[in-house]
Amino acid sequence: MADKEKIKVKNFYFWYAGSKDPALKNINISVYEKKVTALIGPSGCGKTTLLRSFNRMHDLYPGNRYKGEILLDGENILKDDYDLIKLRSKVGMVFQKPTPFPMSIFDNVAYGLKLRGIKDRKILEERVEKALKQAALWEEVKDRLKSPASGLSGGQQQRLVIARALAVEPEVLLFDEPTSALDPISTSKIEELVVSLKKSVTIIIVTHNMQQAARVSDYTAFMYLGELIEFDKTDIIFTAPKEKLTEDYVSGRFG
Amino acid sequence: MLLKPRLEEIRDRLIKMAELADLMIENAVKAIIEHNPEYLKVVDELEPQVDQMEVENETLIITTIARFQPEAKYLRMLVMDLFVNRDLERIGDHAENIKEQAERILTKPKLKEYVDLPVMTDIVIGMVKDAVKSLETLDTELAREVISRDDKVDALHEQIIREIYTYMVEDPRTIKVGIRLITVSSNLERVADIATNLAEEVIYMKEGKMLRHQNLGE
Repeated sequence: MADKEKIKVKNFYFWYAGSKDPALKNINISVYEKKVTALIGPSGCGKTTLLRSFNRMHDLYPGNRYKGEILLDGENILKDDYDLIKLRSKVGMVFQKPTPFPMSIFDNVAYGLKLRGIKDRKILEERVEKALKQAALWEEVKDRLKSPASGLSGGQQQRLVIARALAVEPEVLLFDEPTSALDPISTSKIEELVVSLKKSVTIIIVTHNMQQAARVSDYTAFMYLGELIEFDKTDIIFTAPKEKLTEDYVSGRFG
Repeated sequence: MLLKPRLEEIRDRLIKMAELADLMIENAVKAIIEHNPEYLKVVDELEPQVDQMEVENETLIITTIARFQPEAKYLRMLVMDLFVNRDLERIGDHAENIKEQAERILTKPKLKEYVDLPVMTDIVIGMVKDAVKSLETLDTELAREVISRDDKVDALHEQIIREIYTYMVEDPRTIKVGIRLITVSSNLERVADIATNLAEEVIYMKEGKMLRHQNLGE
């Protein structure tokens, strides 16, 4: 069965405020539903810039400019009248460093739900438990939901943040270097989590760790100097890529 | 760990492939022993399946190595899985060779009641089955036991050649079938060698010890 397109990027350009040269040039890429897509490439290649375009994070800074189209379920999210609140509840994001809020474990996960006006304690409890289970954290925290989130280890905090993102039931989750601040054991837990999450969400992950991309993703996009060099199934990118530049990068002959 | 389920998938596929390759050998020889070409249909049916599996397994193993860059026991396992995959496909090839001989043998009346051939076939198939069983559980004791059976197969092969030779000397009209029967026996002997290789591969996976060509230079 062919994979279904969730996001389609068409002739996409992006300029940071005050810059004449685009940070992203003519990007065309498809992101498939309930698959993991990894964006790889050397520092400054534009992978994080592209990731942040998927939920229009760049709008937080004035002067940034987009051109082209990013279609989410066929609808262009770059349209001026696209509802950004709706977009960001559909497309969640997890950052490099865990960012728990200074409140209890429970309140961290319930935060987005409360923001959406859900007040019923029973519903909140159910949704928090579900999200913590999905994020493979429930067993470790179920007896101390009222404790401050800051008491968790780095790896647990990252899973808490993932649970917080999952609680509002997003369709797409963006991961920006989700393990670069974690130790190897926490890293492998997050990787397993990423793979298990694709049962319910579409995932895009940016990582400078090529092996991580190889382990967790179904599709891989290799970017270089703001351009998409090659996009294919991960099995192909890491065994027989079509472009020499990709081959050089994944085999470590770069720079 | 994300690698484990892939290793299990590869192992399961290899075991399935071994079952098919075994069935091919079993039916190819049965056609000769029972003088019945019906059994050859099974060989024809399974051959493309085994070939297809070899290609799929190879791709799966190579992509797993590329994606997980395994070390130590996982590296040994995956590299040996590649060898096992190729070995099993070769067993299928030998079954195909036996089948081709069988087609010609069956056009002539039965040369004799076969005595050693069924015994040899049982041992060879048992060797492949147990080698695969040792792969399933990484049972190196069983693997070593499989290797020890190879001498018996070699002895039976010699015996079969000697016996058929006496028929051929007595009556040159039996030469056509006789040579083909010896070819069948040679193919079975090769399958036993492959089973031995499989067992050696299992020992390398588990213990990291290379057993091949141990008496070289001694």
